[in-house]
Amino acid sequence: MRVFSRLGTIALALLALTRAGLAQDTGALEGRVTETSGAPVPDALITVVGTNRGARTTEDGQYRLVNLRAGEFVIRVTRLGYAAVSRPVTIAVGQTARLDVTLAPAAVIIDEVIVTATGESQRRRESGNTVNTVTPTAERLATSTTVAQLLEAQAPGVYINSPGGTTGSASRIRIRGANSLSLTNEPLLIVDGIRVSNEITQSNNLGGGIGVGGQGSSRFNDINPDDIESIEILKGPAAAALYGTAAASGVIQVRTKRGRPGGTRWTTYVEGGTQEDVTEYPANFSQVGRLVSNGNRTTGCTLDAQLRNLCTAVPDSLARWNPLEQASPFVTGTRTSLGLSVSGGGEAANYFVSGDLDRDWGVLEPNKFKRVGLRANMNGQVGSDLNIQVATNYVSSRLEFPQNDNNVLGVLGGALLGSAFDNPTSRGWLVGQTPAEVYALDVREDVERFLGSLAANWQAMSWLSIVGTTGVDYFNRRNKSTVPPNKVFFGALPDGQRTANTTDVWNYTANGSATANFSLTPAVQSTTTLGVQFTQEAIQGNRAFGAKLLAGTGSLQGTAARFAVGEANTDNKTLGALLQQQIGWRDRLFATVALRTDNNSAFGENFGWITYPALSLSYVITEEPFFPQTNALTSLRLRAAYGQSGQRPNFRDAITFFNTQTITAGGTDFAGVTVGGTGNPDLRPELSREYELGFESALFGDRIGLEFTYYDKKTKDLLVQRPLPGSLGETQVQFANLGTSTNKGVEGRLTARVFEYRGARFEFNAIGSTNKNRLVTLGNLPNGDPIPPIVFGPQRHVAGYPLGGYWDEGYTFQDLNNDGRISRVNCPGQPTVTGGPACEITRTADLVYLGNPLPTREFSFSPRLAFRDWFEVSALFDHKGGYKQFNNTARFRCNFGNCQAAYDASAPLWEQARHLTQGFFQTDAGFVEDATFTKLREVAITLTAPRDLAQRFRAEGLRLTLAGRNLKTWTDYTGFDPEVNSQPLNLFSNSDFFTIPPLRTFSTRLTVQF
Amino acid sequence: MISTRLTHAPGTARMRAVLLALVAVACSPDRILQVEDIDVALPPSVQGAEALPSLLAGAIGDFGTAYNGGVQSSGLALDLNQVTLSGLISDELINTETFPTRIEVDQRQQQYQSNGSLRDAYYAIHQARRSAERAIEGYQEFGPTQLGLAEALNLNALSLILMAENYCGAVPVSRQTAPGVFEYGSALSTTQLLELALAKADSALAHARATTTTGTAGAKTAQERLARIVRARALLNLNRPAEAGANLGEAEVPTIFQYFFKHSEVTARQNNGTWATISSVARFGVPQMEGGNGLPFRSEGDTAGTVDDPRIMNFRRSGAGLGFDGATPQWIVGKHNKRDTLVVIADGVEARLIQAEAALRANDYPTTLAILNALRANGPLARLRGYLDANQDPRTLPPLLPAATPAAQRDQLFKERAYWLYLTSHRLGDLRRLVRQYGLGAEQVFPTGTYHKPGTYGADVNSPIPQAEDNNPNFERSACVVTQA
Repeated sequence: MRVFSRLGTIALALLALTRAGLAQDTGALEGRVTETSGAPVPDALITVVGTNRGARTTEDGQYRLVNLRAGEFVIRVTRLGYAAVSRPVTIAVGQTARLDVTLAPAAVIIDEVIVTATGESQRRRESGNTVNTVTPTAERLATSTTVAQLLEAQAPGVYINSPGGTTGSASRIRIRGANSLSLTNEPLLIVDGIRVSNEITQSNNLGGGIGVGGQGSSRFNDINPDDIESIEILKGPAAAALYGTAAASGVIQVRTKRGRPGGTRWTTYVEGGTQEDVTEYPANFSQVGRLVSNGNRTTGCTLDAQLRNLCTAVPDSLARWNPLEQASPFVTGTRTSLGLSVSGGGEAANYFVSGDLDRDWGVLEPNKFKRVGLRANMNGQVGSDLNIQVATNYVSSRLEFPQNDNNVLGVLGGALLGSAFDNPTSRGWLVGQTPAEVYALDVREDVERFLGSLAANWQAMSWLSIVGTTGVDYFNRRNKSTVPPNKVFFGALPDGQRTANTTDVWNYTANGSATANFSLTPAVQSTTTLGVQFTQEAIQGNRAFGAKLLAGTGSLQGTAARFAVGEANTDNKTLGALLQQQIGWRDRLFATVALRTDNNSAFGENFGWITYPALSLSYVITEEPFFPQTNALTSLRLRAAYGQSGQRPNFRDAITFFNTQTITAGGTDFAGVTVGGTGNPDLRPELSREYELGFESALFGDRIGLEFTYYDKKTKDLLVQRPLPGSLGETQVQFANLGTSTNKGVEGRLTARVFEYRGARFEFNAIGSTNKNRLVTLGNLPNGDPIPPIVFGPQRHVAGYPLGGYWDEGYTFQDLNNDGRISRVNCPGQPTVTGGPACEITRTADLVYLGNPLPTREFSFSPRLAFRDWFEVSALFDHKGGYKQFNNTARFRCNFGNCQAAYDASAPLWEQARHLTQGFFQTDAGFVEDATFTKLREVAITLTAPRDLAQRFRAEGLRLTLAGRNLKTWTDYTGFDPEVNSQPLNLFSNSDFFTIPPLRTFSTRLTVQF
Repeated sequence: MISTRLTHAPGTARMRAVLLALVAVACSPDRILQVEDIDVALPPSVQGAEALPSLLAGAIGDFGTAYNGGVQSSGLALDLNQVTLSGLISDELINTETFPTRIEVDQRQQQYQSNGSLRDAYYAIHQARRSAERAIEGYQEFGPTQLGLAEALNLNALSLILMAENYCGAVPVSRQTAPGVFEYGSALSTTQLLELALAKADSALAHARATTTTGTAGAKTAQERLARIVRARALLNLNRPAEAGANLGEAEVPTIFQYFFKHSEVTARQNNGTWATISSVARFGVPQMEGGNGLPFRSEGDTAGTVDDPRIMNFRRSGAGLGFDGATPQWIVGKHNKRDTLVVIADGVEARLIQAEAALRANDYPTTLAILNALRANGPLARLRGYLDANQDPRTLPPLLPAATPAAQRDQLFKERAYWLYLTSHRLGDLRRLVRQYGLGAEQVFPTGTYHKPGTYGADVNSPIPQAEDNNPNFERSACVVTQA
């Protein structure tokens, strides 16, 4: 309540300041922005060049700016999809000037305004690096329930891995590949100028999450896509150097919606939809046979056992049972979204207030996600010099997670490792219980979150502007698990138990910067920025567990034994200062030099400040008089950028410490110490440097836009968990700055307005990117030898190869006797069978590189066909390729003796071979499969009612969108879906392991504006 | 174009304030960056006399975990402890699950490069060793006359003995002397480890006898008795049976004496790890003459069988009666039947068995048989060792009949040791001694031939030093021979 009270005070003060600040020597400016067709252009940005003043147009293209200091100014009008227009105006005291502007569509926008690390606005043409802007459209909002989905296939080089069909689960986001072995590779998230947590909840003491087998939640999903005005993606150090020790993996900047001067405008939407698991799951197999040794019946008479003369198959007794099909636990999931927003106000103060409710019920009964969000953004102009923006957001979410993935109680694992025979009680599930019974295990996550930011932009002098931003992102996360007694029969669960973990997370941001603009000569413009930044991330968590839960109770109060409590407190602070100097020449050539220096509380005590330099060059060469002006090449901007940024060590990585342990002696508990961490006082941040080169061009009269970027990123001082010899008696690893990795690739975008004819128009947007990721070195051991590869499952970090690449022993196979079976008998080291087939499997190498866990190429194609202003159909084809997936589901099923290849000679030979090599040659290579795919990710149809029709319903606008998602997949991957990932919370581990595949969804959204 | 004219100059005072704020921030970065960490103890806080109880408790806890726990110091699961490691390589346990890292231990084909279960167990026993050393260092500096020093020395010696019995004869002993400063040890042979353990136990005995300060008389005596058993165990391993059996009589170490680790439900780290892997998640089970050479633990301990030996009590798992792999029939150990069941580390029974072996090695079989039968006839012992509930009648075991040949006498003794000391991390050391000291071939004592899962038994007779030790510049991998008893 204190938070709301303070907000109210701030709002009142803002209004008071606004009124008090009305200057007397001012005038006003108004006008309308339209297309060449005369149609209004809403949401266009009107900027008074050289000041902090600006406005956006309303739905009918109108704008108005008041309290403008009298004088001569240049007005710049920009809007995504249109070429910028600049016009001079004269503002007279007490008068209202008028400026109407007509915008022409453009394929490449170089005057779009983006926000810099200091909070200042900057035109794209001034920056030597590429920044991708994503603006949510009605179609994308209808198909995307999360911001991560909103970003899918929208920006080249931005890889979004939605790991499956579990509602509410986190996505893995990688921009220009992965840099770090040990620290986060998720991008830095900035919302309205402040640093915001996009943590993926870990199920350890620090994270406080409750493991359900693999999936976890993400705070990235707390942001309501409908509240977003635009998302800017800075892809790496070349663009994000000024963000300092947090930006090595890129930056995602979210700007939420703002008020518009004018009448009060209400917008509401209602969305409903369904989601289904359309996967065809395999049956469990078994072969009934007789043991040769004693004639006893066996249900495990495998092809291998038959070839070894251990059993004989009983004819026509190949058993199969598919619990997922024949006793299906799946239901049709539903999605519901409701939202209402209102915006309005005057030129001096305006507002945007919204509320939304989202309900997302998954395809398994205990998988539900509900989110309620409230937002209030206010903007005030105090006099002609001071602009204040306040953004507040409250989110409350409730999430229920099912057991799945690497989990013996998981629905998919329980079925696919279950029996090949039906059972009236267990229905063939592994643990002898149906999912409905296991659903008694209840796992929930409740989150209450508040984001508040205050930004002030003060035009202190005509040449000096000062920007300050401060804010807090706070959330309370309560992770709870309840297992009623005698409901779930595995391990100690029949006792019943309760876990209740509470985590409070604070992210504070305070930025301040001053920017001085000078015209050194009529042609040369100087912009100098000096700033400081402070961020703090503090986590406080309480952990509690109790067992032997009293029936009928559901809290710790009802538990009677094995009580465990814990606390997790971390604190991290970064203090940075920055200096940037930009020189612009004739508004078409810009050179920028910048330095940022940081210190962080997690650096080792022997390490001090780190400095990140940045350089950039941007040249709109087609604006040169000497450049031939042709319709074929309408505009061309060349750009180059270089920058460095870092990633800090985690809390406690640099210090040596002890943990507490309890011992019991003589009936009394005592506290003892045990080794906790082996510190490294020299620990410093990982340092990424990147350069990028590229261009943006508009061709054939702005009908075609083409962008291209080459990037080269190198990260050194990688934090490597250097293995310590066990004989030290310390921890297993110690962090040290040892490794080096690289990411190189190209990115491109092609946009085209293919035709416009009698109100019909067809356009498309195609993006593509490549990524070549390599680990250069892991560093050396104290004795000078290279650190051996880091192995995790079939994945390894090996110098010279992609991070987390798949490795295993190779093999070949051949059905030499053409009996339709692959046999291992008579192979070296395998059973000898006299008269049996010759060896049909050959190991080819000790260890071979099998492939990359991340896509090395991505391509998406988004065609859009529209007719007049009332009909539009769009689609999104999404291709990812050049990478592998570990089909651990198939492997484990074979390991469990459940797969068809173990029993059925009609199974493909390659399946038989990989089953045998996994079981008897100790290689999983056959289960590492090409994951290349192309998906028809989305199709959306939008119908917009003509204005007169809308007005019949007393509305200003009516829009209906019908959308489908995950409609078709083309792939050679033999698992359920190439995108699934049972370990999305880990940095690199990637596998298909009993994970619910992505769901097919259909939704209908109606948007009404009043 | 932006004008350079100064059209106005307001806000000078406000600008000064902003600049002052910037200067203030720039001048005190260290204070701004200070953070507090209240969850953990930093090295200075575990030094001094007041920290000694915490150091000793840490040494006890770390040893208990390495010996029979199920959770590492990091909080992650400890898949193997010294009890199950010894049990799997020997004939005390068989694997009944699907995970290859433990299967290859049971199959005696361990991969030192990639076996995470072995790696964790190795770290845990060294952490126990080092934790005891930290306690010793603390007591020597801040409490040299306190009884805790004797217990820390005993625990240190026990850690070294377990390394000697269960690992290849090339175990380095290293230490961190200051944060980030490491002193690497070279590989110690089995004999060197045992001699080091003997020296520690001798120190513990001397200190326990000499100390006159803290602790009750019972505690002082207990540490003396523990030191006697520990040094005797080291001497037995060193093939010095006469010395091992000396000064180990009922007067010095009563049969009912026990030094145990008290598992608890209070924290997961205190749980009985052997219970967790056998009873809770069915990874390991009780074998029946594993690999041909193994003892009939299952049939002679089966509560539904005819022998029903309480020392190795076991019963079929409920439900389908299969292990985690869903295929291998599984018998559950009765000895570690609850998560808080205590585990005996050293006791008077072991002292008697050492005396019995000393007698046998001195060609005094009658004494050996007498000691063994006295233990079997000791009714209260069954209750003391948890074989019987308090409401059950005292139960004794029938006397052993004299064995006719030296080989039979040896086998009789080692079977009694195996049953009395079942799942206490003695069996692997005993099998190795049968090879090393009694001249048997490894294929005569270790599980051999066809494995109960695909493949055959390998030739390992101890556990390898995990690959991480290769980061020790003084370690020579070639010295670690897993086929050498």
